Amino acid sequence: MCAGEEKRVGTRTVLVGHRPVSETDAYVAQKFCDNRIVSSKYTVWNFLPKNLFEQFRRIANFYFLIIFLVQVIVDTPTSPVTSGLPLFFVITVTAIKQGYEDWLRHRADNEVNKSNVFVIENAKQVRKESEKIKVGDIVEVKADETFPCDLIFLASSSPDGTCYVTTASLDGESNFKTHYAVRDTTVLCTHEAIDSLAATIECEQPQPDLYKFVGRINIYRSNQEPIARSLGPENLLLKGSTLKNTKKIYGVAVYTGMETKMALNYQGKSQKRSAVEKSINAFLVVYLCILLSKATVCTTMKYVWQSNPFNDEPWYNEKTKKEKEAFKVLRMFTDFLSFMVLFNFIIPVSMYVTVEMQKFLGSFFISWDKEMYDEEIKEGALVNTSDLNEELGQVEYVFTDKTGTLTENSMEFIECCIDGHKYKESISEVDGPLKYYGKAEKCREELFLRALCLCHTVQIKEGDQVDGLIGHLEHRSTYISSSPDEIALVKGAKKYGFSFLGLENDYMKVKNQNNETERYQLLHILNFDPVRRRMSVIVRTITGKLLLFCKGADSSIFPKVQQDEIQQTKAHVDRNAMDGYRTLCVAFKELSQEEYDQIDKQICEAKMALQDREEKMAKVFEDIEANMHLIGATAVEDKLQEQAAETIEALHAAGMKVWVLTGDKMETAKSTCYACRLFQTNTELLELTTKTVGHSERKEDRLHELLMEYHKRLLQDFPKNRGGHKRSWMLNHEYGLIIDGSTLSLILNPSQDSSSSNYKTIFLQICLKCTAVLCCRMAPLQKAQIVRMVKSTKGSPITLSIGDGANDVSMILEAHVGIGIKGKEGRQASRNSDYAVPKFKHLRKLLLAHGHLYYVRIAHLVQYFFYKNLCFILPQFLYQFFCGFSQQPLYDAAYLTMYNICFTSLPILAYSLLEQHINIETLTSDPQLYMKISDNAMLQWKPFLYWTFLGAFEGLVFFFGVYYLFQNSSLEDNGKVFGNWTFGTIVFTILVFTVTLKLALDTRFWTWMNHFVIWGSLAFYVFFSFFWGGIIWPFLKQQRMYFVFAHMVTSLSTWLAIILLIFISLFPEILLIVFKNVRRKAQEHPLSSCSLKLPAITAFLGVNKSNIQIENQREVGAEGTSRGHPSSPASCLRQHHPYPNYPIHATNQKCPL
Amino acid sequence: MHQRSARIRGHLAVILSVMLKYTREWCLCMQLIDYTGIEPTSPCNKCLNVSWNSTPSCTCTINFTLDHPFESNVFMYYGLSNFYQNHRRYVKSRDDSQLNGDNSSLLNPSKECEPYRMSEDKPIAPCGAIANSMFNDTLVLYRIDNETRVPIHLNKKGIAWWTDKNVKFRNPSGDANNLTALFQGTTKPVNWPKPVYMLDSDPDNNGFINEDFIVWMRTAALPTFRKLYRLIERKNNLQPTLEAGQYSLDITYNYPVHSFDGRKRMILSTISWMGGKNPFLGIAYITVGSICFFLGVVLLIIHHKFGNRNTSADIPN
Repeated sequence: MCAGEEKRVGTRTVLVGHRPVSETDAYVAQKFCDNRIVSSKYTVWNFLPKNLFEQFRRIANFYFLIIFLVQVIVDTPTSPVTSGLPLFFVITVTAIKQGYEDWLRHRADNEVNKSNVFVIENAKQVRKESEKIKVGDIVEVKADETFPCDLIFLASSSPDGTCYVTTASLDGESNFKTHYAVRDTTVLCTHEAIDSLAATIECEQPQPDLYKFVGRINIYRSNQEPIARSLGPENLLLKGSTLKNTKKIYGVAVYTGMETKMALNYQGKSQKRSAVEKSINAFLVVYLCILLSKATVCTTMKYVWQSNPFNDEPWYNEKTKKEKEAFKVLRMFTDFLSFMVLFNFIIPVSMYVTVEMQKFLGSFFISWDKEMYDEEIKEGALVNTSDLNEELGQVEYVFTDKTGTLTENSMEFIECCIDGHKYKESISEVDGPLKYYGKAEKCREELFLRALCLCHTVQIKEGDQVDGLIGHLEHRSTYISSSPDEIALVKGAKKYGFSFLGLENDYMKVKNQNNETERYQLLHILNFDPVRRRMSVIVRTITGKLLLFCKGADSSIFPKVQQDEIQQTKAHVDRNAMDGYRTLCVAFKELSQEEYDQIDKQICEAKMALQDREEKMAKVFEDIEANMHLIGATAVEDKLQEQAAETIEALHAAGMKVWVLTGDKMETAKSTCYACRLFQTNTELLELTTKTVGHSERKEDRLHELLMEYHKRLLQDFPKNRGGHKRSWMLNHEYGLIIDGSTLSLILNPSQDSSSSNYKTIFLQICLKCTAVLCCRMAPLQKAQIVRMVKSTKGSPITLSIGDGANDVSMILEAHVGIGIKGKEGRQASRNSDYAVPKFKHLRKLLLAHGHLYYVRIAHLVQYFFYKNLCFILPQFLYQFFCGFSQQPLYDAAYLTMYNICFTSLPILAYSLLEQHINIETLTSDPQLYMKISDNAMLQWKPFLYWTFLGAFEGLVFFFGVYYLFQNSSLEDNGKVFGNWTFGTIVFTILVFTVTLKLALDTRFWTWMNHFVIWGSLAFYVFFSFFWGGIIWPFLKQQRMYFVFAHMVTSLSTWLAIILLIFISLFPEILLIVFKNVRRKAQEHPLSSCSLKLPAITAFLGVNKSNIQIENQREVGAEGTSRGHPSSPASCLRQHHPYPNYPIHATNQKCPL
Repeated sequence: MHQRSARIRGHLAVILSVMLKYTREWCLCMQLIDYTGIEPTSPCNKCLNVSWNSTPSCTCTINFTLDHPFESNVFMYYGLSNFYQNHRRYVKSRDDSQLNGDNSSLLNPSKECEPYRMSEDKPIAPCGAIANSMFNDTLVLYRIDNETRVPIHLNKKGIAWWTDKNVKFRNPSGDANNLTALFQGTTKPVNWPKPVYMLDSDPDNNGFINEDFIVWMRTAALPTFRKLYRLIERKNNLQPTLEAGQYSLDITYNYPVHSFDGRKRMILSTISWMGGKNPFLGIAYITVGSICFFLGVVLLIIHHKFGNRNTSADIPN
């Protein structure tokens, strides 16, 4: 529909207002797509075919479709309804879900597409629907409206041709950004004027980068050479952003619909698949093999058995003509297919739909969680995808951002130093007198504070008024800025008596210590960029003096100032950095008029450049910000988020490795890491930074040496035989690694001639053995690189990235699970994440409680599904041996059909939604429990085999129990006999009761809903059976079930047999639970006083698993005593102190007997 | 708690199982007579290779002795073995709507009945393999009282499920006393000597609602099965239904089973409140009960041991 391939290359030419500019230029009309946003997948017409096609691409659905077709074509024992109905049900439920989601998208699209916009046509304002906008239309947008498409800003109501825009819905930055109209069109601020404009715009083809735009406008005037003006991102108004503080603007549409930058940014988010799904597929293959072998065995046995002619065709049971005439090979093939159909229920048809419903409904628990609700932002957690719920329980590596994630990103001005003198307010009196540790000269002090007041891009936002008075500033207005540091600095300056009052017509107003208002003309802002790491302003004082103020990171300021001034400030800066504060240095320079004129010219030239504008600007800035004088430095504290340290500790204790990836500098990052206890005092730090590697020529050799040294040291500490205990490093000496961006790029991209290209593997080995890794000075892409590197190591551990800013998006998308913090740096991270939480501390509950529970639930769900279908189909298989391998179904068709979708589906769904085998408080407070489910423990082959054997055992009990009962088929007290359908119904009754009661045994957390669905399902089964057998059904060919169930329940022997067989089937389970309780009692007074008492979480994992568990406990216990630690109780306390002693399982554990 | 409940459960199971076993042994009597005639000495050996239409019918008599008197009502079964009534082709070879008296199905039976659907271009009533192979031996029981054979009254009604007899099976609608007219246009199943409306003289037990026929139509679950044939009701409280002594069974041997290696039996059995004699339940309950009891004891010991330690060492950490 939209842009074809060829249109992506080159540029596009847009005729402003669709007016041909000159007769001579041959203009080839380009076709652009309309302004319709289409996020929906389907239309009314293609929904059915497209959705069906997509659903049948799933292997399981396709399998059932095949089975269904076989049933239709071949004469099979069960009617096509038996597998067609569940398939239809599954397909319908999924289609309804997807259709509903698509309907929501349609509605959202319509809301956008049908909204009214004003387009200028023939000097008139025409109301149009948004979707009708075409490229080249001139659009009028009023204040507080969002832009309907990407516009080139032509003119605004303000005479200087500027407008303010907020991009909150694009990148979350709520400050006002100034955009500039094309200089030559700013005067055209009426309908008529703008309509007379004849111009073309040449610009690049649409691309997703929000902050890049290159274009040119050619303005034609009668009988003049066209004027060409360059266009940059400051001329482009993006769809989705909102016009503020400007009455109206005119713009010309350049990118519309799906080609807008916003639309391009929301496409192609890759699908993440969970590890559980892989396990399901593996199990599916096993069951498929069982199915095939069953069918093969039966087919073979059938022909062996039939080789005896009186078995093949006794006189009482002759074949039809058709059967006699069929070829033997064909007959065998049909038989094979028939057996396949008969046993096909072993592959659980409804598992996928149940899993999907479980995930969909289960994800609400995260967003409903009141503990994850943040009062401050009035929001709770957000779930963007429900596919990864269980992955939260499997995380091995946590990659976290520092600023805004571990820290609050709400900066507080702590202290400053002016010419080496420290100024710090006392902590007790917030607004009280300030303590001065020695004093700098008064004029220097004032200069410094003025610099803080002027050198920033902070704006003032007042209550509800847009252009109100500034007089009552203190009471009603707040500072807003894209950088919290700047606000902190401005606020800091206020404490010392200098307050910034706002910007008015290029004049910055500052109230000084004497309550006088000073006015400075703002001439230029040399914007901050991450390469320069500083920003400057050039102002003219009221006296006409020209001043340049610059602030920035110490490393970027120091080379630009007089060297002799550095020393005294540097000491302060270093100390502050050690304390974990963010430091900025402030410098200034006085400019003469000549200098300024030259600078002005340079800047304007650079701004007008068509090519490489950014590099040119950077170079100009570089030149301007030289030979400055250092005034002082500031220290701003980025407060740690509440409970950040506790959370990190808990994650550690849960066996996760926490890596901090930050763009901040090493010292600050390191101190934050200590503060949040990522590094303990006893952690031995290995450093791979420019400091240790050095800048010299032979830094690669040095790096190599370091790598080898660390590697050796770690290998000594971790002997090979400990390899099995993947997560037992807790007991060892702890190592931490610090690496910075430049060293990392050296490791990842070593120069070609370097002999050791295996840096990467050595580095990785070092990393994996360290408890904590700190990567500082990381570029966003490097963050993603690290995540990818860890992700692709052996065993492909599950990674989780958490961050709050746009710079974390790459790593959030890269990791298995991406978590966004709804932080202050915009919403980009949370929009791209899989889950978003308000605070870092919520990660603890999200992983330890929710993740754990989701994993256990879904694992149990999957195992249970396979189990219940195995013991469903096994009796049917065994029955073949007693009915001459004739594919006679054991159960009635209704039971075959409804077993999975009605009788046994709801209890497991309720279980998988509500189960808390250990309650949430225990899970959150005892991180070690998280390790119990690590490495996909509940979906390994061992538990799978346990469940399979359980299913097989129960299937055997069901069948042979009833078989022996039927040695005498007169089970009623009136001597009347039961037939084959009663046989099947008895087996089926036992089956339904057993699998439901088994689930009841497994349920540790009973809610009314569990009771309702478990007992309700059983009651429904009984009710249905009576109903099904109570009527002669006119549409049925055979009335096999007529009164079968009713007769069954009148027989006492049947009752006794059913109760007995249910008991025998559940006996192993009951036994296991009893033994576990006994053993747990025995464990309550073991040798060591500080052994962990772990609730029997794995009633379903079998004995083996819990053996390991017990041994682990012993190990922990033995560790405490055998080493003869003098402080043994204390160390125990340290390890387990915060966690209560589980009074929980007394209440939580159901009495199984 | 668990241990205690397990123990109680164990006790209960043992008591119950012993009770079951006891009551069954006491009041259940069963006499089983194989009259297939495989052994050359058997009186029925001459009939072994009988065919469906052999006339006159082969008859034989088997004498047997009851060691115990049969106190309560006695149920007479016939049993077949190696007869796959549960074969898929067989099970589905019937037309329930025809049997329910549907007139259109009567003349146009379901395709499932093939190859027993039409005979000589006439629809078969009842159609299908099950009906076609209906058991047609006649068994008559005599008590030998002082060398004289006293026939024992065999009740042939009340052997089928009430719902089958009254709802599921119905003769075609019309005059119930003139079944011949109702079955006009149909023909008898190939193997039957008589059409379905001549199964019995009692109009209440004739046609599709003949109880022998209904019993046969309920397909058995396993290849060795028994079906209720006749009832022998206790006449009064003074004497047992069947006293101990000599009996003889007259068999009109029509049903060939030798060709598929089958066996035929006649079974006389009394019934308790739980149905016929069935050792499975008793044995199973006894076994499970003993296991539970044993485990209960083991757990009790363990519980006792640790329970003692528990009280002494129960110091909160």
